[in-house]
Amino acid sequence: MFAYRFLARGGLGAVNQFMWPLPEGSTPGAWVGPQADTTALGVFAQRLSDLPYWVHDELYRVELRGSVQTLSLGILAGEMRLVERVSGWNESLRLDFGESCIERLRQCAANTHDARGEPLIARCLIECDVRELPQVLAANDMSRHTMGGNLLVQYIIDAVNVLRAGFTASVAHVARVALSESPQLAAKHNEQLAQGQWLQRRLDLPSE
Amino acid sequence: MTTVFREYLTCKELVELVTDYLEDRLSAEQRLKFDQHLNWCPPCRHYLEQIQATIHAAGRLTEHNVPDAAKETLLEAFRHFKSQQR
Repeated sequence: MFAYRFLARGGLGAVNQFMWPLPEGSTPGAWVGPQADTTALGVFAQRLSDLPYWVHDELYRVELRGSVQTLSLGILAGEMRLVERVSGWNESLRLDFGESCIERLRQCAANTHDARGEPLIARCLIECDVRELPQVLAANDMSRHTMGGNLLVQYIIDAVNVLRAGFTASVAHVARVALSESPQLAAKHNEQLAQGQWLQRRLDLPSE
Repeated sequence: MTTVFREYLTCKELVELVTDYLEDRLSAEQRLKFDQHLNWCPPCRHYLEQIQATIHAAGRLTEHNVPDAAKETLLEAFRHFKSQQR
């Protein structure tokens, strides 16, 4: 069975810095067991739909063997090896992914403000450069107008700031949480699905 | 132990589960959610590193590392604490 796994730079485990045996050319890396994830349970991998939850520096296509268990955010297997690195996932695309999360967030925020009869805030949200958004909102005193009402703008500011700090996984998390907190928004927009579709399209990954 | 039904753990829930995580007593589902939280939350990664460093440092200490004077002070404090509990 094949799946995916995000790792830190250099093929290191994102949490425990385990050094994964890397593939060389068309030769996969060595099989690794539960020691890679420091748990006797097994080793974890990700399906296409799980990828938004695990964004990190490097993405690999992996092969699994042994007992395989499907979980809510991934797969648990007896052993795993790295087959090939997904070369399309790089620093530039990682930044694009973070910005795409913020774009959807601000589109939803703008629609919400427009529906509430606040077209000026909606237009500002749509027209300004996403990287300048915190300053623009502060300069126009718009954060104050949204306090106690639509918290999406606050989430956008958080997302822009964590993207600046380089934490793309945090941006994706903020977007998922922000857009799931309102039942009305969640009914219209599935951010987790949108993130997964973005990754599949930009990385040209086959459907499962 | 906290039972988690949401797709993600909060920082507070992670702190509650950290001992079970380090002792490898989490279920596969909880373990995955714990690791997923660490993936997006740098402050919790830092917290876990601090806990691991503390365990590493404390694990090297034995009773013989405690100077006699400090040992006596500690014993006196424990006796005082016990007498207050009665």
